[in-house]
Amino acid sequence: MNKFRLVLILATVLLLSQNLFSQGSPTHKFLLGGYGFTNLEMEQNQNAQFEVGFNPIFLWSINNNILFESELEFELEDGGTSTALEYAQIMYIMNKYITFGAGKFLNPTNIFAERFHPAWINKLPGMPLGLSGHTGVQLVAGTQVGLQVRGGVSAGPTKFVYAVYVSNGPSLNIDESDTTGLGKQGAGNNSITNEGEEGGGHSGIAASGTLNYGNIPDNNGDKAIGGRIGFLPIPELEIGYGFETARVGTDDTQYSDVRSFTNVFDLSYVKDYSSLAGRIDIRGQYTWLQVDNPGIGVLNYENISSAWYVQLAYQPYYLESSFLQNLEFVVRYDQLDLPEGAELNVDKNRIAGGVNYWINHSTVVKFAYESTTSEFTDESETESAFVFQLAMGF
Amino acid sequence: MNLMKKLNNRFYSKALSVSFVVVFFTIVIGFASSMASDKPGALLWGENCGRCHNVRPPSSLTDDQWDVAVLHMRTRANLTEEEAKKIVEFLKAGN
Ligand code: HEC
Repeated sequence: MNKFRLVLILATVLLLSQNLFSQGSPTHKFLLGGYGFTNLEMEQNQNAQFEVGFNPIFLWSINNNILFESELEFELEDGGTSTALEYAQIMYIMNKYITFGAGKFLNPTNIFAERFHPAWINKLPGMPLGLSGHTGVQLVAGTQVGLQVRGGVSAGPTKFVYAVYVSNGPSLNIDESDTTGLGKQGAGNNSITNEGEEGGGHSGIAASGTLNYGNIPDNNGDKAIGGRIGFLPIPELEIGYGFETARVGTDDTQYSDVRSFTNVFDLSYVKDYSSLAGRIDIRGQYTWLQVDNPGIGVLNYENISSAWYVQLAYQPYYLESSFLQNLEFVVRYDQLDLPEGAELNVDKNRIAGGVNYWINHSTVVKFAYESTTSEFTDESETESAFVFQLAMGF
Repeated sequence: MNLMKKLNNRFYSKALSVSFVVVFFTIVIGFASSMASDKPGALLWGENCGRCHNVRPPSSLTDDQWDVAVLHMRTRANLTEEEAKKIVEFLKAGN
């Protein structure tokens, strides 16, 4: 707790020591953004389902240095409408190289969450395994509640970007009563969005040994520390490394000392090729999570999980025909590996292919096919699904 | 995977956090005085604004709206002050 207080005090002093209104006239400006979407999911052996979501984004700036960003999420669910505060953050550009943010923000170490998850940006209706509460077990937070410092620096033709944060961090799920091997549905999980999900609706799976990223109120006094450095050797390519270290055990339990450590590697590459008459877009992320093995109770195995995805998209921008110009082809492979010996040990891999038609820069119709293989201890099962999505960003 | 396990060792994990902070400050301070780029706004817009999503044409928002949107993107995409300034000028000139 003390570390956190210190950071808070430091941050306040820094804020006060600056002249907040030094640049330009303090005119309030407001922008309403966000996105909406509708899905139709047809899974093998299941009834076809329609889904709908509306995520308005509110942005206020009082000058060129201070911005408030907030996103709400509305979704239809079990005969009602669910609401969530996706993020709400005050950002202050302290100087050329340092931007300070406080509140609930998209996790800068989870590039998929921070940059690619909105339905009008994500090139497939579904999200990769392991990166959100919507695809079963989650290995990295979608959002953080705390403070962050971030920025970018040009170095000749190359560029470095960075983000560091201190946050509540995740909490350890322990379910001593569970004998089903499936875990209970966790409450208050941290969804970064609501598109094309599988297995579990809004809440992730709270089996023992997994982490809960919707950790409010914090289950212990220790704060998580994390960050990411990205490097752009050329403007088209960014490679990044992110990490998080946190104590996740709940105070006053036998697991209170348990810590987690997360490593994330990411890559994105976007380039127009006249030889291919279009644009190539490659995205990938590898996430590795280790939770300590205290060797007691329900936690007595090496608790290491990993997830990764790679996605390739091509849009023939430069073709004459305006119909073909607006088409985009996408393939993605993703995989989730859970620890052997864990209560919940279903490894998954999935291949997805899709064709999108862009009505304008941020309005898209997506058709996708997904084939998901689940590997249980001694058998495996493959299921396929067709997903259709209409998404609009505004 | 062994490499990863090593990384989680307390010592390595602390060393990693410390080196992360050191690297970050070295970069910030080291390059703080690096020369300004002479790329024009249109080029910076093309290079930066299509990396995560399709570019939105200048005509899609008003001047005041671009001020807010580019400020938002400056923080989200870690744009430098210079990039943000030139891009917003380019967008305002073209709407
Ligand atoms: C690092 C990835 C990234 C880059 C680079 C990027 N954007 Fe964005 N942009 C986003 C994301 C993510 C959103 C959606 C915001 C959300 O859902 O939280 C967005 C939303 C927008 C919006 C909708 C309004 C808003 O602010 O939400 C506009 C307009 C926009 N971007 C313009 C731009 C421009 C202009 C540039 C170039 C300066 C740019 N973007 C570069 C990721 C990026």
